[in-house]
Amino acid sequence: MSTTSSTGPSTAPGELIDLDTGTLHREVFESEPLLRTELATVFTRSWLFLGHESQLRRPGDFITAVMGQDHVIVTRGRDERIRAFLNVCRHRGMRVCRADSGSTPRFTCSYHGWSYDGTGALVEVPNHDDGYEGRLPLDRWGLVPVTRVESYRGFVFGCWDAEAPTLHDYLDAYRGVLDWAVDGLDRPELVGPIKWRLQGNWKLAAEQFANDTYHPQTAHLSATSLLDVNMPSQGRELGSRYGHGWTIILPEDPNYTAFTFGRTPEDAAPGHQALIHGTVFPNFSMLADRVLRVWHPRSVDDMEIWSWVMVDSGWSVEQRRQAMRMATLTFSSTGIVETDDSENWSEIQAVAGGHVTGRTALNYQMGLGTTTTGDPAVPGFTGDVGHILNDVGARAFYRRWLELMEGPVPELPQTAPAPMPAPSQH
Amino acid sequence: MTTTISTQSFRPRPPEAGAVERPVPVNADEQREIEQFLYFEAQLLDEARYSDWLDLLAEEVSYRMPSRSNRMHRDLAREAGGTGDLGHYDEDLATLRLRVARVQQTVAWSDNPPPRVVRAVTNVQATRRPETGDGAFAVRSVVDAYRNRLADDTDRFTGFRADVLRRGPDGLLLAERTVYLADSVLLTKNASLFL
Repeated sequence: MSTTSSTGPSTAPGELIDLDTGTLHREVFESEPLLRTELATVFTRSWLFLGHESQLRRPGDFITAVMGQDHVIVTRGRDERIRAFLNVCRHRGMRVCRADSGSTPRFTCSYHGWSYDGTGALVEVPNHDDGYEGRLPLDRWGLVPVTRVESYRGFVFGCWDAEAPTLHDYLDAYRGVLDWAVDGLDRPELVGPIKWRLQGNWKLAAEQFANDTYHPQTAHLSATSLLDVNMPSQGRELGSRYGHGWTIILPEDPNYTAFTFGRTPEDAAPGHQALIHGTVFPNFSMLADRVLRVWHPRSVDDMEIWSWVMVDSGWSVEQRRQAMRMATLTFSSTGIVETDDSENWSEIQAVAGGHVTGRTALNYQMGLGTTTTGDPAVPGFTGDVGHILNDVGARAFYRRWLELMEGPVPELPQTAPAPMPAPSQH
Repeated sequence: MTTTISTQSFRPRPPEAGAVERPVPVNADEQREIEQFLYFEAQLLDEARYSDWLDLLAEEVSYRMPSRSNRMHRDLAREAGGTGDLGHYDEDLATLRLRVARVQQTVAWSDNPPPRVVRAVTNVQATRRPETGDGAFAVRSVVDAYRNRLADDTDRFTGFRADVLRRGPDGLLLAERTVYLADSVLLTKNASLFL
């Protein structure tokens, strides 16, 4: 096992990851300064999943979401447009909206009563006349808007970087995966989330979903043996330019139906390929087309999981319930599969912090040197492709991570204080 | 019996509305039998005797743990999820058996080595189910469980349970359970224990 020769903690991202040798310095999961850098770069320059339009059907409907550690409100305005703002009052920084979801024309702060409309505009300040002499430039003190909010097939994403590619371009070939989640649904409806919190750096989950089809035979043996499922063998592991990684299963795989939550090749997507798992960089993951995830970085050591299931509003009560029961049974806070994932993530984190441990390289070498650019099995995809047992998805994830960690911090929205005009002379 | 807070919970009671009806308790023998059933069930679960626990379940058992969310008063009707919402558990006997079969394997890593769990069951309120004359009881109880796993991996699960118990050939059986944990975000890496 190779180790670095440095004598002290290293926090330069470039020294922690070597994509040529496929090694990753463990500090990537353990360093508080690195998390602060991630929040300033990875989570500001990437498109982050906020929700689905089905959660915001009517004007005034809102949900709350988190972008990195920035809490936001996502709401549909009277003009039908979906916007997102920091869930933070501009006056004293109070959380403006304390409900998880609902419908309201106004977000009124419960501290001093500053009130914002569905466009984020500050529309009421108590005692504006006798406290501020009517001088506050209200138009300068609206809720801080998320720089860009765009949707693809109802999936709503936000991004703080005005220079980022469009969501369409950012998703790149992963658009086809999102298509699988809603194709065949007349009226897609995102149900959830359920939420839980665990010890484990957020990347442990994000990279696993981006990449790892190696672990089920060991980690999930208790569930897979019971369900009489064997490891998939006919599939591909993909890693794209913007760091998305995913694993597809091909229809000839004998375990196709087991890994697609009961879908058969006949009722699956055109071409019969299906998702086993995948991650839109950095932290929006999917499982078997219909289970959606965000891994929120609560701290360097803890993540909060939000999990949803995509259903069709038009399904019968029983069909709807059945879809959710399948997810609950397998991948959820109580899932017989996921329970063993969280065991791994939390125990990886539990042994973090040791001096020697932190300096020991970890192995991301599976399939190194065997990947191709594109693959006949995945027409149109121009990224890196490997056999289903291949760390190519994780290497793509960390390539992008490194690129952003070493890159610039975007210019943030106009958050500078607005001066108050001088009082009029009496 | 009231199960969760509702849109009405926080409001002053309107003059024309009646008070929440006081439950008509079952007789002392029945109360004791029901409590002992719940304590025995908790003991079996604490001791991971899951096969024996399955024996306490009715064929038609429904076992749910809805997710709960933060809502303003006016939206409290949707504070706890129903069967149309995504929850933490929504099981029948077949899936409960499957879960048990998993956890009984040596390769169920989350439970090998096993956690140590202590379940306290309190506030047991039992009433006859007025809608059925079949000797079934509606039982509300509070469960407060502590789980310690490995070195310092600790969780607390606190909530109330709305159960239906009915008679089987060998005594009471659990026919329905809905566990309402007090958490909206579960502060645990998994809730895959039975409460």
